[in-house]
Amino acid sequence: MYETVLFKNIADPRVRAIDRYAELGGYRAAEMVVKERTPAEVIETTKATGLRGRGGAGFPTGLKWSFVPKDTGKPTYLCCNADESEPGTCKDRVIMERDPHQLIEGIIIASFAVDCHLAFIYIRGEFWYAYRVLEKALGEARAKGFLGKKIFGSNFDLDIVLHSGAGAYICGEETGLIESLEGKRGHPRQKPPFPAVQGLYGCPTVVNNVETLANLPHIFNRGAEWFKSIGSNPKNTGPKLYCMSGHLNKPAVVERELGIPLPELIYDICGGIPGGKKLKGVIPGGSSVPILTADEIDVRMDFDSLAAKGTLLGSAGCMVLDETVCMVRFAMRTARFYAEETCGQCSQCREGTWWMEQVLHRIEHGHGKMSDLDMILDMCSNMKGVTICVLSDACAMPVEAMINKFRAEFEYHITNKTCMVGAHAHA
Amino acid sequence: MRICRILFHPNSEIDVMFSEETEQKFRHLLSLYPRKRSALIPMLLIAQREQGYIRNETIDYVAGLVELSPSEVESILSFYTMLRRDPVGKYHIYVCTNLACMLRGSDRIESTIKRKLGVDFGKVTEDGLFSAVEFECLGSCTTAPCVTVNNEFYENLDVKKTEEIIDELRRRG
Ligand SMILES: Cc1cc2nc3c(=O)[nH]c(=O)nc-3n(C[C@H](O)[C@H](O)[C@H](O)COP(=O)(O)O)c2cc1C
Repeated sequence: MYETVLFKNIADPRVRAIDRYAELGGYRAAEMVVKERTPAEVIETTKATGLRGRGGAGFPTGLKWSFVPKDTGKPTYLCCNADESEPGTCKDRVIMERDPHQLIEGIIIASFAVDCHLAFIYIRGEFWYAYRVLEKALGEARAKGFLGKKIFGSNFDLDIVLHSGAGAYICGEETGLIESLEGKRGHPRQKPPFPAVQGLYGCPTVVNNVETLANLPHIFNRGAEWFKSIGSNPKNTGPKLYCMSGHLNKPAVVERELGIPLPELIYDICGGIPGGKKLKGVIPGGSSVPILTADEIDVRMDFDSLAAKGTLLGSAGCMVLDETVCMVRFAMRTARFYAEETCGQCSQCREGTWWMEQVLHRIEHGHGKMSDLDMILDMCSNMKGVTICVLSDACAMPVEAMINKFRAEFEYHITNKTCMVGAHAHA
Repeated sequence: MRICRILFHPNSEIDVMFSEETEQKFRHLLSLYPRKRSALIPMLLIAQREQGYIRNETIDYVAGLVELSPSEVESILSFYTMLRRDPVGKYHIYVCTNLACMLRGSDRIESTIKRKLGVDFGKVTEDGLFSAVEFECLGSCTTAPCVTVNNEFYENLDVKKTEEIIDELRRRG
């Protein structure tokens, strides 16, 4: 039996109130950390858990914190990435709307670890309800003395600013987020320097995802050994939220161990595919990752197992496609998203995403040429690894996989000027 | 109502008309960040919430507050989809048509909304009540398809539910 951790209290509407959260053991970990631990100890414990970032890249959290230089004379900032805009992803929203104090407690622990006294939550502007829930929760935490000067009666000062974005996927990329938080267009920055050294206002900055931070209270309540005991192997540890969407009988944000077998998620937990239809494919980690065909789904949902299959865990935005989905239309809609959201700094991305959408559009509408397919694949290889950030790769990788794995369907579309599956993507 | 003199237009008197509550929020935002400019986007969102869209006067006014030129502010706000320079309906609808919603039939939600409003996306209904636009993933994938109305979520939609939402809002006026 899996023991729920991150979602343990989300069914309790009262847990949004600080008293209820505290009654259930909340803020004990943060108080213990700021009063009894040193920042170095907090970083060591976090390293020992094997916790990897839940925002998409899976970078080890403790290691990221250890890159923050000390004694620079500059302040350190922590930014909680609550931009959650990767298509297929809707997990951070649940934490923020239902258990906001869990996140705030996590931010306190992370801030203490990197000696940050002013942290930011960058929340996407569309999450207006979550914004209000967090705003209230932050007010409660301040009133209790859990935020502000000398929190919990320690010598540690911390405040958290809730900052609303205004609709731009690229502001989820950590340097785009930093630029946006500085009041600019969200244009990602060339790295290095990495944010840990030179981030917000030119100061050392840590960017961590909501779910990553929400793990911290549990880690400091129950220890690194406990955390490591969850998951598929020592490099893929802890609880994980999976956003199970698309053609499922019971779509849901599901919490299980990192590395649960994908078929278990689809069939046992989410009730399988509706209407007795056959599975066509699964996008395991948000729109930016390569699709798995129905034959490839026998895989564990963790960073390394999915990488071994040529795809990524990403944000765990897992979209399930049944046999009625037209892969040409799906690829076109994917490309269109990136064409909409490219920031336009790098020509390969600005032009590549646009052309990709145009060419897929003409195939979808019966005007494609057979040579278009290799042209798109060629564009894909020219869009990868050549730009300031990986939005360009995030467009090329999934489209490339769709064409490579479902090529016959694209060819059918070009030859017959109509869909092979006969129907468009209707539920 | 208040009249303020703008830094960059010393000769123009601009009528900005923000409520005292909004002015207070502006002052609060400006005090939160190590640099004023960080308050820009949140301030524009608040201004838009009050006035429906970002007016020229608002750009001038906010630019003065964060010590940027109005053209810089214009350039920055044009980057962000949620910030708009034209009026919208009293109920402004974002219709998600991205992948997860598409898989659950957002096509039908889109056509239902267009039919019920009687205007295309991007246009305001004659009574000023409604406008709708297509939107990228709203983060409601496991409860798809979804729309938001003035940033409140409506999820697990079907045609009937969508019609009811529009009817209800129309009744509310
Ligand atoms: C185009 C793009 C969009 C991203 N969007 C998000 C996002 O919405 N939320 C998020 O947490 N990380 C997002 N990331 C990943 C961040 O850059 C960063 O790796 C992450 O926030 C780090 O937090 P973590 O180490 O806790 O995962 C995005 C990356 C890219 C390239």
